[in-house]
Amino acid sequence: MNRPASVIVPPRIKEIYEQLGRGQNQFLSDNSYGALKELYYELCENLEDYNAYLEPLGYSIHCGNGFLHMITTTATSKEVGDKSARVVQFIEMYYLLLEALDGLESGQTIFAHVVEHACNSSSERAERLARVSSCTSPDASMRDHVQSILVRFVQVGFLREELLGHGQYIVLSSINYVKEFIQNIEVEAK
Amino acid sequence: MHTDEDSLYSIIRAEYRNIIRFLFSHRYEELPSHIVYAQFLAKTNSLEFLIRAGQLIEEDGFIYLNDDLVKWLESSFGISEGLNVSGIDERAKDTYTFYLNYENLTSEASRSKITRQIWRSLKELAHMVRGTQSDIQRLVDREITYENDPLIKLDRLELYAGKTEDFERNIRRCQRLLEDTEIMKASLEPTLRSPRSRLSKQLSRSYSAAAEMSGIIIEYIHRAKENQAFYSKMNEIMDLIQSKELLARTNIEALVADGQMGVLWKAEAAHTQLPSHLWEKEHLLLKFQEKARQFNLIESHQDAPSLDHVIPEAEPIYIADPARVFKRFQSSNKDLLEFLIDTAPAKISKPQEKTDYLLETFCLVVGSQYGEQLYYENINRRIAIDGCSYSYATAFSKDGTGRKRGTIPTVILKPLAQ
Repeated sequence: MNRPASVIVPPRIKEIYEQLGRGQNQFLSDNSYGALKELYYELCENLEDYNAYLEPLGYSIHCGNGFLHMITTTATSKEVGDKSARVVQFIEMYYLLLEALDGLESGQTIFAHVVEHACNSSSERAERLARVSSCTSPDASMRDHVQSILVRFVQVGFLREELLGHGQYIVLSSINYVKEFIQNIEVEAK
Repeated sequence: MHTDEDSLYSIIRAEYRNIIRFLFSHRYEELPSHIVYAQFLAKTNSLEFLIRAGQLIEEDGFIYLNDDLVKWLESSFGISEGLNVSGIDERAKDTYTFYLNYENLTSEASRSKITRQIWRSLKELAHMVRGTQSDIQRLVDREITYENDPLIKLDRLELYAGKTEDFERNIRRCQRLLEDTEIMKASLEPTLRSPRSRLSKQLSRSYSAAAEMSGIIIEYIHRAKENQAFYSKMNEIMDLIQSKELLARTNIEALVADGQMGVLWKAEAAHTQLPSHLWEKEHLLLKFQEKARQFNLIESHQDAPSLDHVIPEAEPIYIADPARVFKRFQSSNKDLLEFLIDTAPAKISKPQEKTDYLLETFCLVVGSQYGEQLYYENINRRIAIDGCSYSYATAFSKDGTGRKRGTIPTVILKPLAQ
């Protein structure tokens, strides 16, 4: 994991590591906000230099469709039981938004009330929403459940809240990370 | 989106209906005024009225419908049927035949007559090419924008993709004919130079536009098909979730073991903090409070952590090697956090950087394959300091006796309940 002495320290490595390595943000997207967008383009233009520096440290920056994120190249825990269950739950949340909003594409502006309306109009969807929501209170309203999912998507870095308290969000290009994962799923024939 | 032709014309007043229908069906041709007047001898007044009203344009001895009316009629009819790209090829062949005739004629009078035919033919061809190009462009835009049914849209766009391809091929043929200088000696006729040069430019412009449009259509079709495939896969996945067969019948566990979707737990690490009572230093408490604001209490993106716009001087970063740390940790009798505090590298001098280093190393070790060899105390300690409360669980090495194995420890920083 030690760096070879000959590797040049890229100029913004600290900021980039702060953001992607230490997890202030999981992703840099081409439609990120302000300085994060700047970092996205800095990385896109000099990706090889940054990876040359990071790879001996056990990291690598992966370039997806309109987004960048950092992956670790060292062995990580292989325990998957709990993780798989959480991935499945996340897929359910993603599908719920996809269905309720009739698409979930990079750059799209989405509104919490639209998701809420879509769940109010279908009892089956409302049940699924309650199942994946992190609100466990029996008194939680439909709005609380929808909010919990959107907050989760903001935390992971797939959405950016546009107007506080107005339930308006922008879908970031990092949403393609989920799409890429789903495309990699292979379903075994019966 | 298609309108029956008769029902559309029925909304136009009877005295103008046939004139408009006739001119629309000949919209790619240049119709001499006298032919149009001859066609509608009994309706001269109506013709003149339409010209005065600007619906028909009479110019240089020709009559045609105004562009807006043509566009409206085409968009109302639905288009694919109306879009004729093969007419260009036929007209180009006619033109070529005129050129050949010119070569075979010797008398001045006959040559003059055929020169007029060529002149007209070149102008019509240029007009047709320009018209077809703008038709394709407008009609494709319209399909993409207004057609709501994805299957119909895909079907139509595939049809346009084929037509655009034919259009490009016909333009190429046309260009080859014009380049055949051996045959086309008539081009030396001064009256033909200008229309031939105009046609040549039009062909070149239309070819570029058609090639661009072709690319747009193909990309759109590709994306639409990808979306269809994606939605059908999502539906299949949801059915498997419903029947609780998803993990058994997919490779999800293998993908997760391979690190895919790792951001889901990395996101948790970003919200994980060290227990503050181990630090007993004011600057560390301030640091924790700052993190609390960043992670839990962000009010809007304007308040989100921002970066300096000035490019800083390059500074190296320090990252622990989990394998080495774990090896040394195994021979100590401390819990992981205490061990990391005691052994933090002295070269990291800034307190904040040291905090980050320790926090990160803790997360790196417990998140690595070595984390599986750790035991965790199943207790949830809680401490409240300076407006924030912290809870944590402590990691011990495997050799510790009587300790229960639990989940990855999460040390969560939360604002104190009001």
